[in-house]
Amino acid sequence: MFHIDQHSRVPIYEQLFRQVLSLAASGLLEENQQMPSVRQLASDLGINPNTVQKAYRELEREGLIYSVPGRGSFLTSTDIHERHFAQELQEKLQEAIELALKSGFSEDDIRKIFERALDKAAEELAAQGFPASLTDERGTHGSAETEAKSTNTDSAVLPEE
Amino acid sequence: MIRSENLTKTFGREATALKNLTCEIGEESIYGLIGSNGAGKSTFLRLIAGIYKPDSGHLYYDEKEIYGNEKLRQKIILVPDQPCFLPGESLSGMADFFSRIYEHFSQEFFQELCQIFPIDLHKRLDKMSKGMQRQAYLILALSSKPRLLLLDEAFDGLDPVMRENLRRLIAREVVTDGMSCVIASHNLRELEGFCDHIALLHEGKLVYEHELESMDLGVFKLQTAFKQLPSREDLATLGLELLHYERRGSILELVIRGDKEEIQKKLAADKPLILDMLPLTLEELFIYVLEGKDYVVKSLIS
Repeated sequence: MFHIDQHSRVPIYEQLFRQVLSLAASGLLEENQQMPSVRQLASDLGINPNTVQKAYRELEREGLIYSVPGRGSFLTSTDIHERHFAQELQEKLQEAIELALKSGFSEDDIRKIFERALDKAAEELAAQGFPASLTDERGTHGSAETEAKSTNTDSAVLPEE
Repeated sequence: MIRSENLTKTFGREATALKNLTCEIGEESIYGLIGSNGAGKSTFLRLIAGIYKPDSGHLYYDEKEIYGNEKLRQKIILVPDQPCFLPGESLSGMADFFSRIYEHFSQEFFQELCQIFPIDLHKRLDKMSKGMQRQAYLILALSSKPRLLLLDEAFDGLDPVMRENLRRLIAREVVTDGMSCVIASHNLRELEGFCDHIALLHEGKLVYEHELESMDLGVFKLQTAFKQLPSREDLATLGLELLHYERRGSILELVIRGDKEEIQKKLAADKPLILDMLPLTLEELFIYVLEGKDYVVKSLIS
């Protein structure tokens, strides 16, 4: 399920975090689905268990997973993941836009480039066989109407087998 | 788990291998030990293993002095960079020997390890390649179920497949049995992805020690540009610990040690035109920190 790139500059715990996010946002990980235990992940991927624990702690802190003492960790509602993903997307775009602005591009230039990128991306996905409706479904994410489900955990217990 | 306090070890009158080393290695930690050759890494590992006696200072395992404590020798196992075996022995024979010494030696684990790291059980170890010998010693050490595993450049002699296997095994032992591991290595890329703490030794002294968190190593690389270029002295006056100062055209590249926010605040006071903080790899950190100690990359004269 998870894949770690040992040579990437992205820290491992961040890679894990992002993968959970995108797997959940795309529906490949389902609400209330059980996450692999720290032990499993660490020994399957050959990574430091402290790193896995860190990733799980972050995920729990952000409300993306919840733990049930003695049973393990589970994915929370995918709405939360989608909102989180949307937030990250915004931050990434912001970074690129800031760089463009600093380099002297006007807002209009940037908007034009964005439109082109959006068109190109849709084209690519269509060529790869993704349904056009995929992009339409995501219209309302990030809106204030989507209420967060409160996840009530008695204690922040780390995933156990 | 391990606590060293002003640990000093000297060989003969001239060679001080370790000077006043003070550090802590926690439970269930994978601790990386890096440093220039001759920095004292192997000496430190041998002190932890109870092979050497400290000349001054203290070295504790769970607050008990290590040297001379026979019981602790059961829990701390060192895999040396040059493994040595009983003369003429095979892996099978050595396993027998280890099982008599280490009360927690697990036959089951030994069998499993022999599957993972395939080695001829009955061939003479001294007739095998160095790489195979290293693998053999690793098998023996792991089978003895130490609470603390010390690896002296043990990764460095293994091929990529075996390295991945070793990583998985260590991760499993840490999680399942709470084992800790100290790895001395020159392969910083590998350590970077695997260790939770790193200690950098140079000429016997601890020069840098930090929890590994790629967003905050306590050392930062900055690409800056100023209307009025500050000199090294100007930056020192700001109270910044400068490790590296390099002008590249209109960009001033700096490597500074300290707290992220403080660094940004102090530099911001000079009204920089550009101020970008870049992630530093462990390799870069090694090079820059030691640059400050005059251990440098020399420009080659063609």
